[in-house]
Amino acid sequence: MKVGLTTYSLHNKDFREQLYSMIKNGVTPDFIIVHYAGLYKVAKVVNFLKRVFSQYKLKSIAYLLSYNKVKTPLSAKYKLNDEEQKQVDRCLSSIKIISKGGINSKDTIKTLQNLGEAIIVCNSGILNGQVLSLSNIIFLNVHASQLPKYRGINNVEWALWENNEVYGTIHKIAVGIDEGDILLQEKIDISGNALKSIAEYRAYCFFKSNAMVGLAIKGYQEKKLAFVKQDITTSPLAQYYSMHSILKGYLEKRLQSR
Amino acid sequence: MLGSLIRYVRNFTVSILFRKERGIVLLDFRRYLLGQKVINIQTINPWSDKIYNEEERTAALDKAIVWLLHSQDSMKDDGFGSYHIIKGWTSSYVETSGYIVSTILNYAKTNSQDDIIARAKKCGDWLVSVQKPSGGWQGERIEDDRPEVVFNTGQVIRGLVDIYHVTGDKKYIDSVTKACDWLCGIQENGGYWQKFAFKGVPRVYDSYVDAPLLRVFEITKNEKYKERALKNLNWILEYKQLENGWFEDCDNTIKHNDRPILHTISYTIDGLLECGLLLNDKKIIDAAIKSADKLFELFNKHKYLNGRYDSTWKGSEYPICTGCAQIAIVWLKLYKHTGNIQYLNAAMKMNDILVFIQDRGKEEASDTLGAIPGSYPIWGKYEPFAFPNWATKYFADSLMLERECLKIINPNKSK
Repeated sequence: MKVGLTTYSLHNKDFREQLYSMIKNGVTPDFIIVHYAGLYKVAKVVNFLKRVFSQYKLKSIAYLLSYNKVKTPLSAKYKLNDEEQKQVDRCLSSIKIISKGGINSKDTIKTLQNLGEAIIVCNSGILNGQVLSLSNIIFLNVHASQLPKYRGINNVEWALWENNEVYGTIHKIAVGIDEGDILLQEKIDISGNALKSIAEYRAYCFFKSNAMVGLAIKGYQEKKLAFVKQDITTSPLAQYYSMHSILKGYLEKRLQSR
Repeated sequence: MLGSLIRYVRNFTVSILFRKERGIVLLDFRRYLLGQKVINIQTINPWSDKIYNEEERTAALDKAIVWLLHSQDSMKDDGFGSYHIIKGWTSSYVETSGYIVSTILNYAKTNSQDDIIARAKKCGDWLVSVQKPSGGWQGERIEDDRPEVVFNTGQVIRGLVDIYHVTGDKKYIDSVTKACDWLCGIQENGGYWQKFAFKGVPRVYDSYVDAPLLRVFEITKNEKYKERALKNLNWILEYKQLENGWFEDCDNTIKHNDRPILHTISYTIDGLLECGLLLNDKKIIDAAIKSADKLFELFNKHKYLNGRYDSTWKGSEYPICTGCAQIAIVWLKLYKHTGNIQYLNAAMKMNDILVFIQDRGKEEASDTLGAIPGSYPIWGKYEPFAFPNWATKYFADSLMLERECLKIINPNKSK
C-alpha cells in the first residue's frame, strides 16, 4: 500500500510535521500531491493584499480576495527544530511530487484512481463524495481532539472550556464532519508545558497530533492498529461550532489564571 | 401579485426620494443586496465577521430601549406603536404594548430606572382601561377597534402580571383574572381556540397564551387556568407537531399555513418551553427542544435563518428579525435549562446579526435610531419598510437574557 500526503504548500507547518512524523517512525511516503503549486505565490500576494484591505476597512475588496484560502506557514512556539526541518527537506528531494488542482478536481480524481491502493494524509480542504467514494484510497485526517466527543470546529477550545483533557486523533475522512473510523487516538500530555493561552494550547495540540501520523500509519501497515467505528449521535448539538469571541475571551482569562 | 409589485415600487420610490430614512434603505441595498445576492452568499456574507463585544451589546440594548420609550412618547395614549418609513407612526398596538411592559420592567430591574417603572405602570393602566367587557383585548392597533383576540389577550396578561409583581396593585390581577376566565370560557372541547382566534382558525402558537395562563394560575391557584393550558398543550403535542419538529397550523395567515413564519414558529416553541419549565414537564420541554434543535442546526449550517419554513424545514423568504431574536431567546433559555454551551454560542451569534442590523452607522432620527426592522433587508415581505415594536422588544429581551447567561459563566461582570 502506497503512502502519501496532500498539501497546498511544501512549507505548510502541519504537512511538514506530519511528514517528519512519518520519517521518524520509518514510514517512507511514496508521493505528495501539491495543490495549485504555481498559484501559491500569487495566493500569498492575494492574502497580503487582503490583510492590507482589511486593515484599512476596505472590507468588500478583502472579501473578494478571500476565496483563495491558502494555508500560509505559521510561526509557532511548537514547531520542528532546524535539524528536523532539514530531514524533511532531504526527504522531499527524493519523493515524487505531483502538482494538481483542487483535491476534488477531475484531474486529481483521475490521478488518485491510478494510484492503486494508498493511504493519504489530507491537508487540502473538504473532500467531496466522489473523492471519498474512491475505494482504493484511505484518506486520513488529523483532529486535535477527542472523537466522537469533540467533532467540528474549535475542538481544542471546547475541550478546554469543559475542563476536559486534550487528545489527538487520526481518523478516516468520511462524508459527515469528523465522523470517520478512528485509527489512533491518544491523550496529549500537557504536564511540563506552561500553556497559558488558546493559541498555545492549539499549537501544542496540533503539533502533538501531527506527530501521531507516522505511528498510526506504521501501526496500520504492521496490522497492529485497525480502524474503529465511532459511536456517532445524530443530535446537532453533538457537533461543535466556532466559538464566539466573547466566550473565547472568557476562556483566555481562565487559561491565564491556571 | 400586481398589487404587491405596485406597493413595492411605490414604497421604494417614496422612501428613496421623499423620506429622511432613505439612507436606511440604501444601506440595506449596499450591505445585503450587493453583498449577498449579486456576488455569492458563501463568499460574501455581510454579517459573517461582525462580532460585537459586551460594551457594544450593552449600547445596542440601551438604544433599543430608548427607541421603545420614544415609541411610547409618540402615541396619543400610553401604549407602544410601530414606525413605518412611508406611513409614519401607527397608533398603539394593544397586544405588543402588553408584552413590551415586561421588557421595560426587566430593563428597569437591572438599570434601576424608576421612570421606566412609572411608564410601565401608565401603559398597564391604559391596557386595563381598554379591556373589553368580555375580559379580552382587541387585535391589531387601538384605532382599528377590532373584536377581542385570544392570542393578543394572552400577551396583555403577560405585561399586567409583571406590573402586578412590581406594584402589588390588585387591579391588575382583577383584570387578568377576568381575561383568563374569558379565555377558559371560549376554549373548544378539543383544547384549541377557534372562536376569537385570529382569522377564526385554531393555531399552535397559542402555546404562547398557555404560559400566561399558567402564570396567573401560580398567583390565583385557580386550577381551571392550569387545566385549560394543559388541554391546549396536549392538543399541540398530540396532533400538531411532526416527527421532525415542524408544526402544522402555525402561520398567522391561511394562505401560507404550509410554510409558517419564523415569528410564529418561535412563539410556539417559546410557549411550549415556558410551559414545560413552569410545569416541570419533560415531555413538553422535549417537544420544544425538538423544534429548537432543528433551527439550531439550520442556523449553524447557513449562518442565518429564513423568514419561512415548510414541513421539510426548507427555508424561504428573507430573515424576519423578530423571529431571529425570539429563537435566540429560546436557545438562551435552553442554555439556562440544560447548561449546554452550544445554545448560548448560537444565540450570541444570532444577536451579533441583530446588532449588525441595528448598527446602521448613520445619523438617524429618533423615529428609527435603535429600532430593529421587520425584515432584513428592510424590503423583505414581513412588515416591509417598517420597524414593528415587537422586533425591537424581542431584540432587547434577547440581549438582556444573553447578559444573564454570561453572568452565569462570569459572575464578576458587573453589568
